[in-house]
Amino acid sequence: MKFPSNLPCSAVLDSLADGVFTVDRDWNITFFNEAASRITGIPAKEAVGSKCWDVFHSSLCDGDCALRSCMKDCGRISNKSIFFIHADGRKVPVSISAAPLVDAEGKLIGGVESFRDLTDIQMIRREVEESWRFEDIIGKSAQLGKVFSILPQVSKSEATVLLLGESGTGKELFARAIHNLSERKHGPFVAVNCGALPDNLLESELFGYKAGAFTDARKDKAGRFELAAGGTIFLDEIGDMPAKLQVKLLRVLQEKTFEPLGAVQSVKTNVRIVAATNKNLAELVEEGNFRQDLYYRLNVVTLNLPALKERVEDIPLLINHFVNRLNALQGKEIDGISEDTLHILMRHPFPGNVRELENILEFAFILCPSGFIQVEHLPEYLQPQAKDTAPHEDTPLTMDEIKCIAVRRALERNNGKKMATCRELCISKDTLRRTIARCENIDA
Amino acid sequence: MRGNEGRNNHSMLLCLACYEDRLASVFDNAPDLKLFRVEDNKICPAGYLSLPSKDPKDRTSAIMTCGATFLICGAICGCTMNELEQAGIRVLPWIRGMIDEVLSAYQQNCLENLVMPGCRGRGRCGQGNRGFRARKTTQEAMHPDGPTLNSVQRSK
Repeated sequence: MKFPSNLPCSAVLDSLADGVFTVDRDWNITFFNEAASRITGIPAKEAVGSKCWDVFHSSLCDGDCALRSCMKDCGRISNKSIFFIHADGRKVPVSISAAPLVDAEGKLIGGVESFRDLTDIQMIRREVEESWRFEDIIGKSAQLGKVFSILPQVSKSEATVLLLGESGTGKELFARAIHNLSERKHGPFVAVNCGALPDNLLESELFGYKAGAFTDARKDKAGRFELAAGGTIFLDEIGDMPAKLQVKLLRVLQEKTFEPLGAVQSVKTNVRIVAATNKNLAELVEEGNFRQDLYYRLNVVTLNLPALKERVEDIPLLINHFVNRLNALQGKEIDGISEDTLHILMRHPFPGNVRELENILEFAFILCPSGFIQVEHLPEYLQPQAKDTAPHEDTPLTMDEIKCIAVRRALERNNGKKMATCRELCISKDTLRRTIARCENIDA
Repeated sequence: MRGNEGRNNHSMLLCLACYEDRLASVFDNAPDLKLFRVEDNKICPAGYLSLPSKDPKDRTSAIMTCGATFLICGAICGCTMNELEQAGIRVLPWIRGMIDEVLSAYQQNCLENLVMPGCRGRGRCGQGNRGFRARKTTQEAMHPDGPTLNSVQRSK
């Protein structure tokens, strides 16, 4: 079946749901379809004949025009996420695709750009993101899903909880979530890092002291257990707790009482304990560095928090969350991270877990003025150049290997665009093609 | 008006959000601000400011620091517009054209002819017609008897 010859091309374009417009070589709009009018709020009769930047007013119009780059390089751009300002002052997120327009003789006569309104998609995405959030914890991975599924029941119980996980996995966030979901949510949440305080100070911090207990103890001081009355106390790095305090903590767990330093009477406590450590407590028990009875008392409910490298699929969600949060905190308008930057972060092993990811993005926010976070905004240790040069520092390279590195980096910088790479390296298209082929042989 | 402080009553600092030699398509992304002193019957260039930050607050502060209180620009996001207006900056948005063309239209009190497509005939886009009223009020205050300048008198 043939395409009907009497059907004008504009009728086909007008029936599309995506906005489409074409420009001539002087950037005057020559066609503006119905969807384009609907999405931008500008009637076609007013748009046609105007300069495209006066009609589309997008984030690319002043200096980074997609159509200009397509027409210059005879290339295409597809699904680039940008925004434009609607005639009513709203910022509308759109995905654009652009290509040059050529006549029957192959002569460039202008360009065509199509755009899709992403407002609904963004709204749905936001709703989905909410479903991946549990209190302040973000993730959709199966490992985290298991923890999420039991967290409400665990929280409702009064059981002591032991959180195990590497440093930076968000143990305090989980402890807070347990507190917020429990009956004690209106009570205080008190966090103590047992590894950060010297032994003698830790005891008085946890249990308080009475006036005269030691020099300078002029009046009574309440400890964290007293401050947390009716709420939850979070004991981080419990594996670093000194032996004599372990005994005192065991007594709190067993008898719900403790004695402040210098006190002659026990004090009753009404506190739920959530403990956490990045150490292997079972091993510490075997080595004799942690009391076995305390370990069993703490180990009523154990939650193993997965390291970030075990839940790579959560990285994009976490990035999105941190970008939104940093935008709000710093009053910036960073749109997100570019695809190649995301690839780098997805491959990084994250020894520092979520905390490391957060620090990386905080660093990138300092260097990135606006738009998308690019590779060059990442800390140096994540830059591809640093990785490329590291193994070669001590090994001599052949001229061909050096050329390969130069070509590879130039291609990365130009997002794989060969013409732009040729221009940057001042080489012809043929030379680039031959070099790429040679590099593939070397790599093979 | 802040721009008039310390000067005579017929002096005002006008700010244009530009990209190269035209008004920037989007104020929120405009790379440059060009300043012009409107004094009695002359418009003189009064400065140039490059804007590396896209943060609306930074942009507002930059305009205020220059002493400008009147801005002509292209498309503008509603939130940025509020930010500027709350800071006491009068904004005339949704204008297009080359810098010379815009200044000339400003002198001749016919900026309405340079309104971006989709805004003509229904007031200024998005925010009713406040921009033009602000514009007219300002000019009326400057030239109570109507515009008297012509392009020959404009100094560059």
